[in-house]
Amino acid sequence: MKWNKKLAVILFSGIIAITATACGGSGGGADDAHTYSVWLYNAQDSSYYTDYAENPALQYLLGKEWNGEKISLEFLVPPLGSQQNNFETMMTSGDFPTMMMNTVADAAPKMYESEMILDITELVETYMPNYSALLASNQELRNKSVFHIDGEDRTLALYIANENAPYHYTGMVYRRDWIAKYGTNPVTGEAFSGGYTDPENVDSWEDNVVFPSGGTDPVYISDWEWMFEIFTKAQEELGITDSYCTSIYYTGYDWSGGLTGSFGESDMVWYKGSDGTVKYGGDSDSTRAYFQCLNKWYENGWLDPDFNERTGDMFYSIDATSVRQGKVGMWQGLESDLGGRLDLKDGGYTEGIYVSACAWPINDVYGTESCKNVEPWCTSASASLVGPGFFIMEGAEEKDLATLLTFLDYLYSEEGSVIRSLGLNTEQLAEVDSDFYEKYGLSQGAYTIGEDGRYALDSILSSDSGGLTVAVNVDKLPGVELVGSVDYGYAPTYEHSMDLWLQHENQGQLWGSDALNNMSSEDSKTVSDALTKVLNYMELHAYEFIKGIKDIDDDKEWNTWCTMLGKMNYQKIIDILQPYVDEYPDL
Amino acid sequence: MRKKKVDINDDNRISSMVEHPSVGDRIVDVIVIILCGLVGFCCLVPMWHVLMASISDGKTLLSHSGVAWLPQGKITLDGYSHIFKDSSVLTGYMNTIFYTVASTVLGFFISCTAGYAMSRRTKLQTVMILGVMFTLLFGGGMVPTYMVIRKLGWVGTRWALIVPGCTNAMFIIMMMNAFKAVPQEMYEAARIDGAGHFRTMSQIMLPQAMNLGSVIILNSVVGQWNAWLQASIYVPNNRKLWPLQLFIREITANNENFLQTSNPDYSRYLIRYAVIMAASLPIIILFPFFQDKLEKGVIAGGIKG
Amino acid sequence: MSKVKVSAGNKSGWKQDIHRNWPIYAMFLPCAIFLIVLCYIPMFGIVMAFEDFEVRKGFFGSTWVGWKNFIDLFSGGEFLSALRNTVCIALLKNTLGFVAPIVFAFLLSMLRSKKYKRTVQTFSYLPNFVAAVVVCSLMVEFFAKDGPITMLLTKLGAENQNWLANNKIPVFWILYVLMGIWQGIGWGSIMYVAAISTVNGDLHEAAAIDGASRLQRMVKITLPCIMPTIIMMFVTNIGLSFAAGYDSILLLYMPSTYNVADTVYTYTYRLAFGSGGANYGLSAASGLFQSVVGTALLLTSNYLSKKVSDGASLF
Repeated sequence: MKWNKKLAVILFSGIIAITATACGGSGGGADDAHTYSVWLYNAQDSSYYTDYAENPALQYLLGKEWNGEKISLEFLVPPLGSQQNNFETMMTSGDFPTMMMNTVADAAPKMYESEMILDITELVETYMPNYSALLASNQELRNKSVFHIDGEDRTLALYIANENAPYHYTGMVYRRDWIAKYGTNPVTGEAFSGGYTDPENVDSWEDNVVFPSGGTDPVYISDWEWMFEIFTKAQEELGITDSYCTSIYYTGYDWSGGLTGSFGESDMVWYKGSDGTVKYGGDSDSTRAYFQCLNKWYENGWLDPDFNERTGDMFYSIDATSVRQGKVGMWQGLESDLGGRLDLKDGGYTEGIYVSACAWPINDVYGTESCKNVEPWCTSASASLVGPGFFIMEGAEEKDLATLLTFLDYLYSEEGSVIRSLGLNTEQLAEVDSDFYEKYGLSQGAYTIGEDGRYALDSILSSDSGGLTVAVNVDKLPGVELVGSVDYGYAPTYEHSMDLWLQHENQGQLWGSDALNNMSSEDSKTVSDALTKVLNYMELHAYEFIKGIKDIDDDKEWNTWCTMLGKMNYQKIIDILQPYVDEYPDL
Repeated sequence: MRKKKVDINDDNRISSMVEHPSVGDRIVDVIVIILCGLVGFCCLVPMWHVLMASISDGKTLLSHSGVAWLPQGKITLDGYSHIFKDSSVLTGYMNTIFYTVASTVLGFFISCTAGYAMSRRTKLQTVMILGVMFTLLFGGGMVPTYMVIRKLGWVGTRWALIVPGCTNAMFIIMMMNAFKAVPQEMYEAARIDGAGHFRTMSQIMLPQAMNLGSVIILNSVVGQWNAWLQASIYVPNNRKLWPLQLFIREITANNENFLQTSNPDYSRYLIRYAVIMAASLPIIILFPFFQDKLEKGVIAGGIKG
Repeated sequence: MSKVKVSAGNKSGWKQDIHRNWPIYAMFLPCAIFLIVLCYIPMFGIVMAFEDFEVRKGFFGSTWVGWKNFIDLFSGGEFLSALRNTVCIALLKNTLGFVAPIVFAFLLSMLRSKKYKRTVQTFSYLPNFVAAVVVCSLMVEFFAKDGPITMLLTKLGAENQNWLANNKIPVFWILYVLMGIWQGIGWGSIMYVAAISTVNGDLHEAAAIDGASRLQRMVKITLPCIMPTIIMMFVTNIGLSFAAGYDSILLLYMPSTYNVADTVYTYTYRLAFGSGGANYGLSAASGLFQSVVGTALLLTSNYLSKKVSDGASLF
């Protein structure tokens, strides 16, 4: 017992000593007027460096004087996965940073109403000539940054401005190599041929595939169904028994603009019609046609029979295991799936894979005439020219904001935007005291200027999966994001795939639009409550129609669905949304 | 009291002393052995799966379904090297050990004093018990707690990770019951001898109550070892103070979407398994020793009393 | 505080009590400070249940809406089935799930080989260290159409199916409770093993001489001796079983099994943090509702245990 007691005493006093020394040093940093804290939703992959302030390109920028002053930035980046908690505690406790990324925040006018963010109109006018010029030329940027409140135009946010070219990261993709290998020409009946011209280049695919609609890319639902037949044949010949042609998000639909938008001018929830009025599509003929289509696919064995059990998957990576094994014909994929990038080179089903993108189809088979031959109306593909935004928070007026904004404006300039979106070049690298670039083989800088005057990323970066690229540039800060003037080294087939994803631009899907961002808090609450209720009901019953548990062709069943949705009082939501859509017609 | 020194954990003594086991007893024995083995086996499965998966080949593992009884594909340690290539994980181990010890000691002190007070017959006994009980079921939630801790000036410091989670109503009530179970005569004898309440509690009653006490300590240690939420709220930006589990969560999250890159590094699939092993192996290995020590402590307490 | 009626309280009694017991109250002080500062003061957050809470307006700036959140919660289409599921799962947890670790502790104490006992015991703790996400994903794999347990059940004559997608009562309830047992049987038994180990050996010896078999001794001697521990655990478990521990259902259910798998917690989670945006008020209201029901259950079970087992109760 004696040693026990001694041990306890030693342990206890040791702990007290450690705590006393360890707990003391919290220190919020010198409260200098030129030290600014920046809250980011996420930053670089921490395996490159742990604090965003160690970013070499940022160190280069901060090595200079802005407005005659040296500044320093302090980054607040919550651990991955706890951003929401972090944001909530920050907001309710009033511990605001100087500047905050708005990813999880409310819309700017609401934040301003509740005195959480600053009106920076005058500062922007005086210290941010580049941003002001962009505001004058880019209407979308203006809609997001400038708000008409109390009779005045107020600039409330700084948004990242994407340079010209549109971009989309996800869309439908299919195994074109199966079509080429197992399909036959719909007119002549001859077998297709196709293959890689350069076995080392995953984008060098060529074939003579023609779809029933006549083109070299699938356009209509009937083209898709023709493909499904070929996929089934391919799977049979390869001996794949535990697979399917395509899957769908476990709810049976993707309400924010997916396949549901392909059946006429409509969507599953509220959308904007071609005449500018807000409509509700959950009980429309189009939605019924959608269910009829999927029900047919399910019965033909084309649709993943277990789609409604894959609740853990994101809509863009459903059943990734089967997809990666090359067992699936069509899925919603990402850029990294395109071409031959999925080939595991291990003799499995991915042998010789070539993945091509396709646009959302046009319905020519199901439902009433109004549902057919209409360009997909509601898609998630909006070629947005604006990225995430930033707020200057209440309390920041004690800091020298003029200097901060001068610095940030540089990132909207031509020179600054290159550093921001690409990183440093050779000369700039010489000025900064960091061996980070060299460590990762970039001693020549992050980019070179090609013959066409475009910036060409270093090959190490263009083949990188994203982590290193983010670590060498400063694109977590506001500024201009270069897109069009960068040569990413994409092959023509790759660029064609990206174009297909953007072929049908969104014309009616409202979520994320300026109209909704400008709603008053009360209205936005009513709308989001109604949306939750409607989706909750649809989630419970949509799969029943697809799986044939309820007969979609039975008018009684369909009417029940319509009446139940009707009870959710959607007309009221239309009335709320209409004035906002009238005011901000651009989506 | 001397005779209590015999290991009370051991039934062998009784049966071997007084009887030759009958046939019925033999059958019961066999059934008990089989049942226990079955439970042990079922409980081993998830950990075994994780262990085997963590040393499998990522690509093969990805296409494997069901339990990995053996390593899938070539045996690799890539998953572990992903975790330990960043030395800050070691800081995480140190921090976790520190938080675990500090918090458990402080918590056990509070649980003991409170449990003792609640176990004595006083006029406020019911009030105290209900007051503790109430907090078992009602709570203000994350944000209000944050606001209070901020007022205390603990945000961004180690205090916020040591004090708030050091004990809870459940532990205090268990401790109260442990003290209640100690024979009343021992308490009275100590009091008559002139021992103060604190001395009575710590030197006479606590050794007797250590069987439940050790359960509380075990629970507290494991709870603290696995805690990450508080750290993510109170010290999100100071990685020097992060416990192991927060690093682990970050590593996991960083690698969750590894499939969404072209030409993915399949060994990153192993990380999700390797982190579980890395985080729980130390405590799993220590556990039996720890429990042994505690149980011996119980018996030693019995002698002294 | 002093308003609470304590058995036969009169003024002079109070004076005497304080005079005699102040050291006891002083020992309660650290705990009192701890609870008041870290538990009771933050309870102002409960007002959220009566507010249309908005993060940027805070606790004292958000609009007061009275009982609206509760009405929204109770009037939702699936609330009743969620409540029924919660009650049924809680019942199973308190019977099947509660007895399992006790039985296991008894089995352990009946093992003659100490080494074997220690091994089994150590193994049985393991699931407690594996994250719930992994246990759930193993559950999904085991009970999938081609999962090992499904195969076994099919061989025994059950229909081949994904058992977690089965929406017939009571399949999901049982699976969920079994998962809980799997995860917690070893850890839950620690306390009973500890309690059994302190049962006085003399009693056993006497009984053995009287010719009682091992099983009989377990039931007649050990069980009554550890009854206080069992009752303490039972009373607290009943309160908690309604209010906590349903988060992993989120990883196991799907729209087609909502009718059997939805609990008050998951139902609120969907309503409050579903697609539309966070509704903190509603989730706080639901939490409060579960706490109140939990408290009622706790008080009732405590009262009943006092009645039934003459005096053995938590408080």
